[in-house]
Amino acid sequence: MRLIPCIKSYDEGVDQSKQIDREIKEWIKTYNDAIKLLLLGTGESGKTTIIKQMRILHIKGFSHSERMAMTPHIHFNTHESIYEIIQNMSPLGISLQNPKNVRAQDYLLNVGPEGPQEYNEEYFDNVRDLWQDGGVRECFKRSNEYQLIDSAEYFLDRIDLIGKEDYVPSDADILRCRRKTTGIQKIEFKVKVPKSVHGGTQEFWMFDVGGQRGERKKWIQVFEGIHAIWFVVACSDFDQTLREDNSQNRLKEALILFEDVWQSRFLLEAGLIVFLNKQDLLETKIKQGRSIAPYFPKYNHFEAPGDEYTRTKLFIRSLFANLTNKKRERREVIASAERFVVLEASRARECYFHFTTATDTDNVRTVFRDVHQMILTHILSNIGVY
Amino acid sequence: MCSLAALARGCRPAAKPCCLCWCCCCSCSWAKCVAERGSDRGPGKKPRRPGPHEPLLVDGDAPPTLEEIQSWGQSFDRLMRSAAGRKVFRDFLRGEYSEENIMFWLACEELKRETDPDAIEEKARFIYEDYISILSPKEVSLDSRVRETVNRNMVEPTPHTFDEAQLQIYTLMHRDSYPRFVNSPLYKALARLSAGSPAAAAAAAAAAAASPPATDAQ
Repeated sequence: MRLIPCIKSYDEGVDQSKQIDREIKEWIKTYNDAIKLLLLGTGESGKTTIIKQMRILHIKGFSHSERMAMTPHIHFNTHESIYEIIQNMSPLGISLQNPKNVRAQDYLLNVGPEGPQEYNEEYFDNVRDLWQDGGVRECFKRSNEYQLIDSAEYFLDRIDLIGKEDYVPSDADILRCRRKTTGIQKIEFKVKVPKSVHGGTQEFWMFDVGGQRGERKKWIQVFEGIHAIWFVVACSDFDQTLREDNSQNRLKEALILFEDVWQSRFLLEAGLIVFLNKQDLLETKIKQGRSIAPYFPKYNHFEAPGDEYTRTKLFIRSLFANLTNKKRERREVIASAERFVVLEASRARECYFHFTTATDTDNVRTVFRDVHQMILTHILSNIGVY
Repeated sequence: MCSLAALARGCRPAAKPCCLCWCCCCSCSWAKCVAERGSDRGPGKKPRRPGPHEPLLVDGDAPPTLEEIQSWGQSFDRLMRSAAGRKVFRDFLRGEYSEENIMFWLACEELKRETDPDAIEEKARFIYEDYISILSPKEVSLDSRVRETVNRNMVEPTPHTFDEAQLQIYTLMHRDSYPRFVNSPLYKALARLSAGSPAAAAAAAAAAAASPPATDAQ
């Protein structure tokens, strides 16, 4: 019954049909010309941040009105940060250092998880008092034991700026603004191609997806025709658990997911680039004396030169690299009748690793340049996608 | 072919270049819900002759005024309070592969209106199976705390079993999908030219996609 509104009388239809044919033709040409990139990774790994960077680097950035539209989200990020911390103080047996702040704590708990009706001076004063409290800081240091957004410290440190009435979010603020993504979105942009390759401009389509478990069921719908996957990993997550399942370690989940993506027969033709992301947070964490060893005991036997941070990041890379090697070894012993398929698959199966900080525009610019070059030379010419 | 299909294609990710999806998904994948919502109309009754605004209409409702459509862009609550608004937003979400969010929200609203204890129990189970169970293809994204609350509530379902989950999903749509909806060519064309011809609306959509909106000029 629902199809009926779609059917028009015949003579009206002929013209429309031609018009639609033209549109489809045009659309297919655009589709074939574009390099299609798909961002994958677990929740909060930094996929949408990469999208924002593409807007800054290759589209026109953020307009004034778009910045203003971000303010409520940044206000909310600030609220969810402080609210989450103070809510977890008593479960963790931490009390306020300054008894005077009890009033501020009550005020905020009263406001509730959704935030105040209005982010006014009184609200920000209370948040500021609490963020300066030693007990709150102690609870913040143990944030891996509950669910806190990664930019909590960044926003709470800037409370005076964010609380101003004429506050306009900067690029850095927008990049750190956390919003859970649902569904699948596409952004399009053009990039100049180096003369050494073939010059001109290249159209890119980049697909962003939600990373939580429920969202991953939708991923398969955009697998077709993808040239390269950017698999984003939050390296600093090694001591945290998933929002959607607090019994699972986040980095372990990323490894399991990566293996699924690597083995997926729907993605055999796509290049795979792993972004070992959140290097800034990883470095801070390690320098604060936290270690990956309790969560990944193999680290104790990992041999690599350098300081703790360098060793940790190399160790994390080895965890992912091992999964790609493991697959290839296993495939080589498969019966000869299947060999052809195996060779077909392994031809395109190279995996590239990059250490990234997605909130750092310079870093993403460099990485994107490398990846772009790689895609142009390797994928397009070798595999003959073009 | 739907008159708004071209508009819709402009905003959807278009991973699959299938014009048909826009027209038929609503009747196949979500048949159950459509059947529920359309229950005020006889199953065999023919819909009115399709006009340019047909995709907007929820059966039995008057078409929204331009003023109403424009108010959707100012507040998410207003959009969600309007039957036509929910319909347009739902079409938008379908294009972004996140329609399950509004479907879940609508199902919760319906459950809250239910008074018969047996029906409450049955509806709650259906909602759980359709949107909460990790086995469902339409599972919505909840954090583990809310999921645990729902699981506890399911021992003895009430009309408010999913309240926390419903709020979490409402917030998710509000924060993530809604800003994109307001900026979409589909919505912009509707908000400016709801009285115009489909061709004019399509042109407006193309223009909206090509140039920054006036509000961005400052």
